[in-house]
Order: sequence, then C-alpha cells, then structure tokens
Amino acid sequence: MAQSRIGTYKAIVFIIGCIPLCAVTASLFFNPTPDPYERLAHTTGEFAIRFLVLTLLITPLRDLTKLKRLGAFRRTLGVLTFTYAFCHVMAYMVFESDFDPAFLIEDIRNRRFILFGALAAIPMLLLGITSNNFAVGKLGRAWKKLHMLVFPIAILTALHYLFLVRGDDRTAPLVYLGIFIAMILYRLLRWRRKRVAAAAAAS
Amino acid sequence: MKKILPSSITPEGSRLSRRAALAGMAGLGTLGALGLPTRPVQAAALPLAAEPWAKNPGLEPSPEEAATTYNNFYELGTRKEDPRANAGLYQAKPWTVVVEGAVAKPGEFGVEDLLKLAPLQERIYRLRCVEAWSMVIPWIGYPLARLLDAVEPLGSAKYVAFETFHPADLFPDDVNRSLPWPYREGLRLDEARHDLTLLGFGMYGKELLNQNGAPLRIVVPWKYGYKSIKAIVRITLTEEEPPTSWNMSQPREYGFYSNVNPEVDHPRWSQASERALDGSFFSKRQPTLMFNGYAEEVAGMYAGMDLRVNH
Repeated sequence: MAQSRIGTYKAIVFIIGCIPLCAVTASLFFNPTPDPYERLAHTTGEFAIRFLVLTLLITPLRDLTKLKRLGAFRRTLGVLTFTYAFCHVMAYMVFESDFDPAFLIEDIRNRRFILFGALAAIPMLLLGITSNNFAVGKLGRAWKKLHMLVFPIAILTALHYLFLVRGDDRTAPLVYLGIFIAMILYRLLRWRRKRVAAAAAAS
Repeated sequence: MKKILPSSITPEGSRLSRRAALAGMAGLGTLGALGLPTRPVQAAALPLAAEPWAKNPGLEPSPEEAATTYNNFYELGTRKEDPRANAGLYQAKPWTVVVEGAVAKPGEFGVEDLLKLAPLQERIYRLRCVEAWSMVIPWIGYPLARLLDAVEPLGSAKYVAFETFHPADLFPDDVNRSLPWPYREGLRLDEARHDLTLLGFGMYGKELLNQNGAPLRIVVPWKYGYKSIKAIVRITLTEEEPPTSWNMSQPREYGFYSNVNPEVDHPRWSQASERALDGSFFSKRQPTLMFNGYAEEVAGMYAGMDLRVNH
C-alpha cells in the first residue's frame, strides 16, 4: 500500500466514524425529543467508548495479523474517540451545567459518575489536542509516553459508565471494563516479552 | 400453582400484531441496535371524555408528543425512546385488574367496569422524575380512593401494593435484568386514599397509550415518577409495608416514600432543581418544590417523620 492510499483509507474510516454523530444530530430535527441533552449525551458516550475499544484493539490485531499498516488507523480511531468524547462533555456543559462553575464543583463533589467522567475527560483533552502531525513531531519520544494515558482513561471511562447505570443490569459497563483490563494485561505481557527478547539479543 | 391472570395471556390477535410490530422494527433494527434513535409509527389513542377538575392550576401542559415519546417504562426497554418503539408488544385491551388482600370485597375488575365506577376528571399535575427532569401532564382519571371504597379495606389494611405484568412475556428470550420483575410499587393506605392520588386511564383528552401505562395506572404527583406505576394487573391491600422494585434494587438510593424533596439528593442527581421539558430545545432549569408543589395538601401525612431517613 502506498502512503497516499493509506491516507485515503484513513479519511474513509474517519468519515464512516462520523456517521453516527451526524445521524444523532439530524435525529434532533426529523425525530425530535423533548430532552436533546439525554439523547446527545447518551449516544455520543456510547460511541466514544466503542471507538475507544476499537482504538485499543488495533495493536493486538496488528500482532495477530502481522499487518503492520494497520497501526496507521490507530490514531484515526483515537481521534474519533476524542471527537465523540468531546461532544459528550460539551452536551453536559451546554445542556446540564450551563458552564456554571458552582454547578460543576457541586456535581463533581457529590456524584461519583461525574467525578470519574471528569477524571477521564481532562487527560483525554490532552491526547486530543496532541493528535496531529505537528504535535507528534514536536513531542518526539514523549508523545508515545503521553499517549499511554489512554489506558487509565479507558479504566476511568468504564467506571464512569458503571456508576451511572440505574437498576441492576451492569453487564455493558462490566464488559467494557473487562475488555480494557485485558488490553492492559496484553500490553504489559507484550512489553515484557519485547524486553526479554531485547536482552537475549544483546547478550 | 401460580394463577395465570387473563391479562397475562396473549390473545392470538395480539401475537400476530406483535409479529407485525417486530417485522416493522427489523428495518429500524440496524439503527436501533447501534443505539441510535428510531422513529416508529405512533399508535392512535381513542378520545376519552372527562370533566375538568375544579382545582386545576394555571400550568401549561408539556407538549403531548413529549409525554408520548420520552418515557421511563423499563418493561419496554431502558432507553427513553424504547417504550414508544416497543409499545406494540403488549395488548391493553382486554385487561383485568385483580384487587385482593385485606379487603371485604376482593375481585377481578375489567377496565370497562372501572371506567364507570366514578366520573372521570381531567387533572393537570406536575410530574417530577427522580432523574431531575419534569413535565406537566393533563391526566384523566378519578381518585384511587373510589376503587378502594368499592372493595372495602379491612381495619387491618395499612398499605396498598401494586404490580405490573412480567416483561418476560414480551421478551421471552431476552428480558432486560434492570429490576426485580414484575415491577412493584406501594403506598401507605392514607397516601393511596389521598384525593390527589389518581387511578389514571388517559391523558391529553385520550386514552393512555401503552408507553404511558395503558390501560390504567396510578398518578401520585408529589412523589418521584417511578412511584406512579403503569399498566397495573394487581392491587393488594396489606398489613406490612410492601416491597417495591427500585427499593429492592438500590435500597439506599430509592426509599419507600420517594416524596419529591429538593433537600435530599440522590447519589446521581441533585434534587434541588429540575430541567423542565416544555418543548424548548434548551430546557430551562427551575427549582424543585417540596412535595413537587403539593406540600399544602400532603405535608400533614408526614408530620413528625424524618424525611431524610424516610426518603
């Protein structure tokens, strides 16, 4: 695959990834709801966590298929995750908190799911604004380290979801939590294996 | 042996209509499966005549479409759009309600007989959901006290328990496990007999749609919405406080009384204010009133009680 072809494929993935966002926005007009906040927050949150899973699946999938070029899509999916997470937080800011600092502080202090949401959103913003070629070039090796934050963000996101569930059915957030823990364990094992291999090669 | 209620048996016709509903849903399935909202066909409700209540407040009802498209009715699904989308899965006609327990005259009542029991009134009530949103609904019904009078509660009766159908009948392979089914609610007998407590049959001048709890439900305007149980199949007068589904699920979060109280927060929602869903795109936040604005009428029933403990 030529470099330019990859660029085209990445653009296609991004455009497809934006379809649910367009659909939910359009639904506010062709299928109105009395509570746009509920629909926007719910749908964008749901898709943010789905894209987060896909982002984290790229590396194991690349190892499994030995398709090196797959790695190019990791950042595209990460940017999609950020796009949905950003819309999710903005829905809360605009419709629920009205950007009122007193409301935000009270909400973070008293509501566990809001606290975990905020804890995930702040580093997520950092990853979002550094997900461009300029930042990648500028940060160099530090970029990779910084973007390791995606793993704690994933755990915080699953906990945010877990604490907001009403009723007894916590299957969905627990499945996400399980996937994220598995992804972290896989990465740790992979990292150790690489170190052992590197040490063996050096001796 | 467990007695099978006539209302829980699905007649042949409705099984066919259910199949049609499912076929219709298949097209919307892809969107729905992704968690995107779909727009199913809205059932048409028959008109239901009622006299306006003398004490109706000067409140503007929420848009009818808001009340019929944005619902919490977990038997039909846990998202706000689900009850409307799945409304066709149960048949509200014919329907009977069993009234039993500590009463002199237990019995099974058809909805058509209950409709004739007392004159229907149209009452405009505030509705406050525990999720911190609110609407204003013009309900049609009569005080639940009329039905209780008819069955003559015994002196030992202290509480009234309500029960809805079991959702496993609608989703035999995949019933959601959100709550202990069947959905149960309860009131103290004095609350149940209070003039504000309605046995509701309609709203907006029409019969209730399934997503709103057809064919009959309770409306208790000074309590959080989940106390106002929908699609009732059984009413039991009891001596002990009956178990209620949300309380069984999360006892610390949902108390038996569940009176609207801006001073007692829920772990997930501040109850000090609410978003009034009045049809505007950016709903306006307004302060929540003690007992949802019905303190004058109902506060006396809780005199001397610690409303933080008995939340």
